[in-house]
Amino acid sequence: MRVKTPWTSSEGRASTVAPPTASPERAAEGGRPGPRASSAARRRLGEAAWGFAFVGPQLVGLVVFVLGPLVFAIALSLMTWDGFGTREFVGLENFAQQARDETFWVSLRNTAYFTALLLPSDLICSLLVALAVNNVRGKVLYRLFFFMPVVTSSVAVSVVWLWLLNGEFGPVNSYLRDWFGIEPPNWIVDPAWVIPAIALVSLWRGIGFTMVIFLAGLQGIPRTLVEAAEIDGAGALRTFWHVTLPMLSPTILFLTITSMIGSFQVFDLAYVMTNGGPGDASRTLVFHIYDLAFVDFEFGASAASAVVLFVILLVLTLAQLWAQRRWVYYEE
Amino acid sequence: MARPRPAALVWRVALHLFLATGALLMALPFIWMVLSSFKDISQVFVVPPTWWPSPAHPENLANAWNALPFARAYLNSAYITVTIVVMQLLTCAMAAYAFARIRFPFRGGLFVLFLATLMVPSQLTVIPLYLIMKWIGWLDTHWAIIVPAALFNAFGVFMLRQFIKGIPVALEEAAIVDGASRWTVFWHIVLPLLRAPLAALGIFSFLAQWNNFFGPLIFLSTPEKFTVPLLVAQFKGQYTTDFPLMMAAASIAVVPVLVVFVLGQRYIVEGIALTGVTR
Amino acid sequence: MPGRTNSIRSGDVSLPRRSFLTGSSAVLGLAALGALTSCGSDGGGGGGGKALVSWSVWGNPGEVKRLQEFTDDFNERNPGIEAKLIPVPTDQYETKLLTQLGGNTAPDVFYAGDTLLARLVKNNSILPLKERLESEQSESPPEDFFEGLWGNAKDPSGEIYGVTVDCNPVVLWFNTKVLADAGVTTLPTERFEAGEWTREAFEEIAGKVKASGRRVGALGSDWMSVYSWMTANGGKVYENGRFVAHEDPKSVDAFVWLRRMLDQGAFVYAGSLPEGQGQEALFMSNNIAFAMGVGRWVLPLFKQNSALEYDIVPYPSHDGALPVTPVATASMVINTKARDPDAAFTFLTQFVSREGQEFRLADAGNAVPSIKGPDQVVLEGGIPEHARIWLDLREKGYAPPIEESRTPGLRQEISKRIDVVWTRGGDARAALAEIGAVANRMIEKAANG
Repeated sequence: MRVKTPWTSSEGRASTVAPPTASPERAAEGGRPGPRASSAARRRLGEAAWGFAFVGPQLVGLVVFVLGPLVFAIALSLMTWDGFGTREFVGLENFAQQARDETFWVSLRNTAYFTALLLPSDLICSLLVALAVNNVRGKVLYRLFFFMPVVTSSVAVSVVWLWLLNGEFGPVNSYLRDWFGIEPPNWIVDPAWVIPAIALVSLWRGIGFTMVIFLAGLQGIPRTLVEAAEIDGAGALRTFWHVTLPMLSPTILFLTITSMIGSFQVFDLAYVMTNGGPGDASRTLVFHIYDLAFVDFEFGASAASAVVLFVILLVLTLAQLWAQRRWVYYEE
Repeated sequence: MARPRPAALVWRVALHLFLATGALLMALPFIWMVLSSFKDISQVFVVPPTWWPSPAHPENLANAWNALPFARAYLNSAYITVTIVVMQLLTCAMAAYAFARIRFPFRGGLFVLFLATLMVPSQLTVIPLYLIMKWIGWLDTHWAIIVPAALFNAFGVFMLRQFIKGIPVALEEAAIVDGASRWTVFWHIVLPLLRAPLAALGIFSFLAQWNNFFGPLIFLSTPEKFTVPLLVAQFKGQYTTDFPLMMAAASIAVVPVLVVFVLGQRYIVEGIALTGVTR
Repeated sequence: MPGRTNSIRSGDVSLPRRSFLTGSSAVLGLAALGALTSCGSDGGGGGGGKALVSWSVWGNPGEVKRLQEFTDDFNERNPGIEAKLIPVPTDQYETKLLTQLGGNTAPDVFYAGDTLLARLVKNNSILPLKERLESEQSESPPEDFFEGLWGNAKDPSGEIYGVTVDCNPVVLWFNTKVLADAGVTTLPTERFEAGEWTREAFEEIAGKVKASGRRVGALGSDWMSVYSWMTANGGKVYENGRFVAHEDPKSVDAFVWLRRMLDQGAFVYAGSLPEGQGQEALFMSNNIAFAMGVGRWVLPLFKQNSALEYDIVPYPSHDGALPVTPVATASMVINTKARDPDAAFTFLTQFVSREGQEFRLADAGNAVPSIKGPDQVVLEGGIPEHARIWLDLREKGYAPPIEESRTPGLRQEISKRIDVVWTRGGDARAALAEIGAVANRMIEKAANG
């Protein structure tokens, strides 16, 4: 147990470590010493069989429909191809070319900036909303409303938000001018503010999604724990910090990794709202990848950029998985 | 229970205010989308945008429905989506259980491989996938859309794995001692405890598959086989967009997802909680 | 909380499990049914002995409906051929087509944008058409089309790879009400007919509109919005395979002037408005006087707004005469791997012939014929009043520059950079010089690569 939970008594917590005699392996051990080694080996084989059986269907899907295209995409990064002509092997030339390409670095920087803005705010806001909605009357209605952005058509989203954020005709800036007296930036048009603007719209869109996952996570927190904390005199904040958060940590890890992967791949809004503009100010990495392939007909370079994205995400994810030992609390 | 203190009341009101404002902001584009379906084009194209259609044109809904073969598309979308969601919930839960609880060789590497598949943008894998489907002979059929999704969803596997890991192992180990097989444990003990995350995954899966546009776009050529998002996208024309019709179509398309959400989120409220069972 | 239970005894579990089982078997049954029906509707294709022609196009339901009518009519008139229309969402048209080409399942006949067409020619994916077009079977001989509209579809040697299906010359639409409110007494069309429609005349009107509190127009950064002003001013954008706008004083002058109009607030930047309804929305709600860089495609839209009063006028030119301005075009091409090239050609030639274009563009029409002859589709109804201008503009107009067709990504790169000039301001002349340098580098690279 890595996380201190002062209120966990042996009654409050479900006992997670079964007494030694309950373990099947040990039970066998108590018996005949002779065939113990082979029966243990048989058990391991049985376990392995079960493991592959359970993973089986998804494994089939992975191998047949995902791995092939994945390998192809990675192999493509070493070739030049215009989409329907001949392919030519060029080694690492695509990578070198992308490294020299200014727009690649701009795309990377924009994407990193976008993720840095979106990820923490999404997690924090969604958690707050989930907690708020959990403890209030009319929760079904609120949940529905907060989920609406997730199902609204991208076209409608971009039209309404482009109007909201319009520097001249939009209400956001009018209010900022009238009520706060400041001169607001021209959100979509100002290269310095377009990424924050897209992040804002993404946040608006993502809260409903993340909120639902947090709600599912909150359901899994044993009531007895919370009650025990209350009995011991902890206030709402301390209960949250020492009980709720640790119990939510597996969910938080999941969301951190998947949201990070998701925001690094932002494309939809950048394409529909600003088309990467003005100039390259909202050009994201996946936009760059798409552009290289379907506009410039350079599939090799596109694949090279995708490989770079892949490596970045892989490294970051592995780092998070490694770090989970320090802060994620699993009950086992 | 004692009468709520004034401070608690203020807190409650503040909470409602915060949530209500948030909810309104969330719903704004959605409301605009629905209201716009009742406008005619000249009302849609106004700066600043108008909210209330006057005069209203309820016939837009009927026109949108008739402009393209929506009835057929709805049927297609419905059975494709439901099939995929049911299959996904099952196969994801199975795989997640294996990753969370069963020790088998290469488990760690395989899990990372699953995660890795999330990291490659789909724009690049579309052409090789197309070639695979062509080779199998599934082009212009619904199999090309159903099977890959039904059999693979790394996001779902990851999510359920985390939730399973949050369940006390004791529950399962007790059953194993009693001689239950892995499948029995999975089906009778673990699955029921996954109501909330399964509901969440079901909702997301439904949403993603219902709105899945890229797959049907690439693989389908016969209009009778098209799905709803494909039809909605067609309202954008070469020169102009049939805006009110497009919004009408989008509004109609959204209804099943909202229904699924309302139904599914019940389970997230009333999922079975874990408590100390070994006492 | 009500409804929560602490028990995990099997009594609790069996209900969800049962409903799960019944639910999933129902679904799988439905799936099997669905699979069977989709298999059923799939078989056969054309009936015995007919030549099959599959063809692809983009467009919204209204546009596609007309094309479906044409297809049905074609099938009736040509009993030995069965043509099948496959509509594709406009935005993803090229993505889907590229995928199909990569998998060798592309349709027999399809629309192709200019950059794609260049690529297809390079890869020998489409058939050369000159011989067929000049033959007896052709209903659309090349000389019936306007010379400047071929663009990239006709290569320097004279070989033709695609035929322009119709076209859309860009003009200035003006809002009569907004002009009246601004106190403008002589309409632009009157100036034009008197041969006095110059940039000075335009500026005069612009001044009055601005004084009345409204904007003159919304300026985009795409080629039709920008090159139009340059060429109308007598300048060139491309010459002999090079980008020359930064070296041509008249083009530079036009570019700098555009920047100045933005600075003065006469023009508003169109890029911050939602795509496809920025200018039109402003125009229809009487917020701007001119809709610029727009062709005939908005006519169905404007017509629906009964309160709107409008007409069209060409771009103001340096000498007051009819200017040289861009024309939007789209080409139809034939797949090298077409199942029946002769049948495919029959379809194509009937599609772009006089009769074909007349059929497609009559009544609802949102384009202008690319072939000489069916002028009445544009003039009938008399809306807008000076529709004749479109017909005249075809003679001097130009299709997308072939330098841009041949250099993938060039058009977007230029547009992107113009975007920056429009939003950030600064020295327009220097920016244009840089655009020129970058453009020529890209052109060279593509020509050598």
